[in-house]
Amino acid sequence: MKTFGKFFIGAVFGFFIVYAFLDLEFGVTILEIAYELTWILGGVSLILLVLAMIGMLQIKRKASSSLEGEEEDVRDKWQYQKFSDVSLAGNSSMIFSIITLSIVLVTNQEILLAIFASILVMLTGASSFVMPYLLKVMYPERDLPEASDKDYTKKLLASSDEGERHVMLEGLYYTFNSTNLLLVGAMIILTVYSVSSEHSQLFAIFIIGLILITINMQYILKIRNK
Amino acid sequence: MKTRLKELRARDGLNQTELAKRTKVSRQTISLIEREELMPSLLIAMRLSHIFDEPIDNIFIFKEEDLV
Repeated sequence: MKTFGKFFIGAVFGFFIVYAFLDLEFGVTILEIAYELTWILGGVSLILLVLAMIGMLQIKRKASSSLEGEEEDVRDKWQYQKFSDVSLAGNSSMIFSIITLSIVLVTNQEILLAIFASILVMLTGASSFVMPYLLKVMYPERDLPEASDKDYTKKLLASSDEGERHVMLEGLYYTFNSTNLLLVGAMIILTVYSVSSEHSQLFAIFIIGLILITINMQYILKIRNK
Repeated sequence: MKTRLKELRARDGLNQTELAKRTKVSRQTISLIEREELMPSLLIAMRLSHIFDEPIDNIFIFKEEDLV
């Protein structure tokens, strides 16, 4: 009952906020600031890529030093956290580069910018293939799959122990719930933007809807068939 | 569930990474068990029991109400 109450209050507030936004008119649309956005997002992507590469080198350097006692634990903890940071920087860099390339292509910008954005996408994509190698550097004694292995994700999950799976389950379940919420939020924002700017985002709304249905179906089918 | 893992590890002069290698798990798993955030499987409990030469119920202490 308490949850229903919160949901109801949220829905009422949400309705009035969206209703108020629908009356607003966006003075500037994405199309008008596309050139600036290309440089900003491309720059952010490049910075994140450089940070990820620095992190990779730091991990590789530290992994080769032989330590004992408490120092070995401290190094392992540092490596684990650094690997997470590098993964986040690398993945974010790839997403920013894809957005940059999309903006360049959609808004018909200079060919040089298109080449720059394409190279950025390729570099960030290539950096994600370094991650499995990095894991092998960090844990040489473990039987980890090669990046080129078929069913890499499945094999990586199989080689994880119960503690790692426990941590992953917590993280993924939280992420799954927030993905559902954020994508619904994105649909609302796109609707508001479409109405206010008179630039239809219906296709994007439709795709997000399909993604929502797909991920929920995948999750339910996965747990239902066990 | 309470655990004496950290105390036993200190007794035998083992760091988390070494204990993890001997138990054939990751250091994260040892750390989670020590922080009482993860109840280990029977296999890992048996391995720990073997490493420390202590019975399982001397490493993991359950309250009476957990067992009934």
